[in-house]
Amino acid sequence: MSEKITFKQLVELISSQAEQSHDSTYSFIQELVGIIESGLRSKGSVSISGFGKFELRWMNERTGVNPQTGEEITIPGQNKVVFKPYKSLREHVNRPYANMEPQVLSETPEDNDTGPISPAVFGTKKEGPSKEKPKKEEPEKKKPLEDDSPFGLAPPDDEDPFEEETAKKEKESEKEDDTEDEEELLVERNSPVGFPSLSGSDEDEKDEDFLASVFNLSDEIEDEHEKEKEADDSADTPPLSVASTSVDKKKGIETVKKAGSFNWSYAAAAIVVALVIFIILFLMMRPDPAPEATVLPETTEQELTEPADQAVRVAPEEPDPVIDEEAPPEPEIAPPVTYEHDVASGETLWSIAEAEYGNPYLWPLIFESNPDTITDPNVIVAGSSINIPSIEDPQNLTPEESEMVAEGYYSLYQWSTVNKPDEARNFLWAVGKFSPDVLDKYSGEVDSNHLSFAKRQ
Amino acid sequence: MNYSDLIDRLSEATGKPKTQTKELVESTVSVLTSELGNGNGFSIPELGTFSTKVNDVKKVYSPHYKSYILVPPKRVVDFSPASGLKENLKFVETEDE
Repeated sequence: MSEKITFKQLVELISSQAEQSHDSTYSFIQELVGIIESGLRSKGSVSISGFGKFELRWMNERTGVNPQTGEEITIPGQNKVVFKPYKSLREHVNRPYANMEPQVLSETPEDNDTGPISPAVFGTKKEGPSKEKPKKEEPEKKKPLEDDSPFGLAPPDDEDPFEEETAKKEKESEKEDDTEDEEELLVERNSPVGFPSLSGSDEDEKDEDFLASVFNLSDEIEDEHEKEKEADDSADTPPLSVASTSVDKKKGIETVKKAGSFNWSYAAAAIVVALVIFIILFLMMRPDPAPEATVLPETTEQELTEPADQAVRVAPEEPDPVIDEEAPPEPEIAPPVTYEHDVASGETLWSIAEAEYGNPYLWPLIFESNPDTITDPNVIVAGSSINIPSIEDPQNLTPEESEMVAEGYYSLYQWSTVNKPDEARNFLWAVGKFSPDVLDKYSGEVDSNHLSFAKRQ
Repeated sequence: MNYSDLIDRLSEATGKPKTQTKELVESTVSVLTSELGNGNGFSIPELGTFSTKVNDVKKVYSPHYKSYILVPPKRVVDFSPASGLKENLKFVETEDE
């Protein structure tokens, strides 16, 4: 990378390419240089198509220090000659690093206590704040062609900034999430191996391959992030799928560590996990069909006939069994006109009620109708089957339907007194809203504070 | 000074036809480009030194990604003018193009 060819060799190359003699090429180049200078002198810029542009840039007057005496001197305003390569030259020169893309870290400025780019990083690169160890000052020997580097980088110094970074990151990783681990692993892996070798001129090809693999991984990391997000979004209710996403993450970290494209093994692992979930859910579903088998033929047949008739029949049946049992265990206590609904992933009783009735506040009715399947009103299992009582006109509930909803809220109230006492009285109030009769029915059994709250509003 | 002016003046100075000077310039450019592409630097007398250098990986904050990113290394062309040229052009008054 820092090899030089002599001007003589250059002339040879040009002569052979242009089929000219050495002498004529030599004099040609001399003329060219002369024209460039005079062009800069007269016009301030000379552009050579396909190559680049030479320009004069004005530097304003500034104060400097005489390095020998230490006194201040004024550097007068003057032109400087600059060369700007055109695109084809730029791209040609950057060929070895052409495929690399920026690698996104998950750090944001808030993560770093020490500020955006910590001073320690720059400190080791340039001069040397107190933090620096003595050995870092030694490799000041600069490679020949990199003396003019504007960053003042002596390549061997490169190891240090990143080692410091990873040391800091290791401390921070204890505080940060698991999601950070992937990037930290990557950086840790890079620094001891990759960066020092950047400087070696002989090792260019090795660097290119290694760095290419490092930066190409950025695609994989982003893919994995997206896969994880998708997995998280799609499965919230079944506890099993939570386990699967964490398994996926771990597998993801493992594949990143291996530094290759292991998409197949990752996909295979995901498929296996999905199959396991399916099998387990399937097994869970099996026991339910048995008791429902008897109810099903009745309910579906009844549903097909006019529901209006059923409403009449329901009324006289209902009050007795409901009054007798506070927590109706048998399916027959539930209103006979129901149909089955398979719970899809992401559904809630609220959302199902809204979809079926147009009024999500009727959800306790569904809760009430599924005492076996739904024990916790906040949790329904995707893939399970629940009964949904059919309501002819959800906007105008019949008194019986209102009572059923009120009963549902009462069940919720009871559940709540045990599990979430602070919210219990709200459910009792809801009971009263849907059916004051039902509220009165239970008034003897409820906490008097809750009752007064429910009746007051 | 644009490219065609350059060619004109060069052809005048060398006495060669424009087509030929243009080809010569193109050959020169192609050799220079390929040498720089191989990472080889060179000096042209009275003009300056061309070389390549590698900008190392940097950790910077990207407003686009809203987080830190590692900018990949990049190899670029570096030019340093010859001292004679520098001096000659230091205090030149140029007409604006």
